[in-house]
Amino acid sequence: MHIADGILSTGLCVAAYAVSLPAVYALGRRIEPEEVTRMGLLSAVTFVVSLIHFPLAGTSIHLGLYGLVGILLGRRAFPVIFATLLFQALLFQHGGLLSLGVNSFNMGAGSLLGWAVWRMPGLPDAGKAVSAGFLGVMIPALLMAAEFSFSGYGKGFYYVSAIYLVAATIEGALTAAAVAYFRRVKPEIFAFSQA
Amino acid sequence: MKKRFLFLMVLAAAILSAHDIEITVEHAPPSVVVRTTYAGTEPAPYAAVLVYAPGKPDTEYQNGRTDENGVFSFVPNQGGEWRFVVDDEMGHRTERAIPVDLSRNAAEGAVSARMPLRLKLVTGLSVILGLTGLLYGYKSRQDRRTR
Repeated sequence: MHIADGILSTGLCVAAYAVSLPAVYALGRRIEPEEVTRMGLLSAVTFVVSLIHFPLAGTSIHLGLYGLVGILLGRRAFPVIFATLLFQALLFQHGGLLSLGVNSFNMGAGSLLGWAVWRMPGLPDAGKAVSAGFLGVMIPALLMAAEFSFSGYGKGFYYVSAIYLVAATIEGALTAAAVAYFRRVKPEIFAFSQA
Repeated sequence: MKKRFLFLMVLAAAILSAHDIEITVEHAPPSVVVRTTYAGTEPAPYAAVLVYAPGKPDTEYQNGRTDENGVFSFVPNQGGEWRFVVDDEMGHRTERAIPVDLSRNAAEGAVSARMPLRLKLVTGLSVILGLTGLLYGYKSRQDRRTR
């Protein structure tokens, strides 16, 4: 899911930066001190969890927990994902510095959409959590396919993104389990992203 | 007079040994790279190099000269203990036998040159949590000032 440097056109990467950097600023400004620790901890979790790989259909997929990050951080998820992707690019060569804007946009969009689903009234927690976890993976996968298509690689990547259905289902289940656990042990944790 | 002569001899020996040629061998499959330096500091450029394969002490497998950076490379045809003779033809000569393991492939070589995964993980987590602490401290201070 992390797009490496040199694959997408430079114009697209620059355009993605033009969207991502203002988004990082707008969604990350005026942070309260108590938000900082939560953001740091979730950044550390997403940083580590990306190393858990599963072999699937000749490729390997990994967890991202972008939906859960959206649920727990709300709009702060975007700057956290940007920072985490920066460290992943620098240390693990997951993605690249030129494609950081694109990757942040893709995964940040998944996370924010997960948050939007979480805030929808009248639905049970479990259903919202599964949907948020699922969308947290599928939205970045579909955006990635669209970007590949836009850069002249054809429409085949839309079919490739179907591989992520499995990862999205796993993430949906994990997100629901995490939400159920937090509801039981620390329900006030959700007040943060409901604001 | 005798003492002064002895002192000069010791000093000369110290200077000469300080400029002895050191060899380090790096595996860069399929090649082996030989780096030559004077006492591990300055490179030994254009020094004559003789390479002897294991079990053939009298027949040169290859000969040549180091480049201007004191580097020489060759492709070995077998594993074992290879003998290297480096002579800068200015009084500095070194002879060393160094084991070469052909079973080490390029991927293994590349991995050894990289930072290990665990170290990367610990580094990343340290940086993230460290920055979190710094930002928390800064924000708390800012928060106290505004109240």
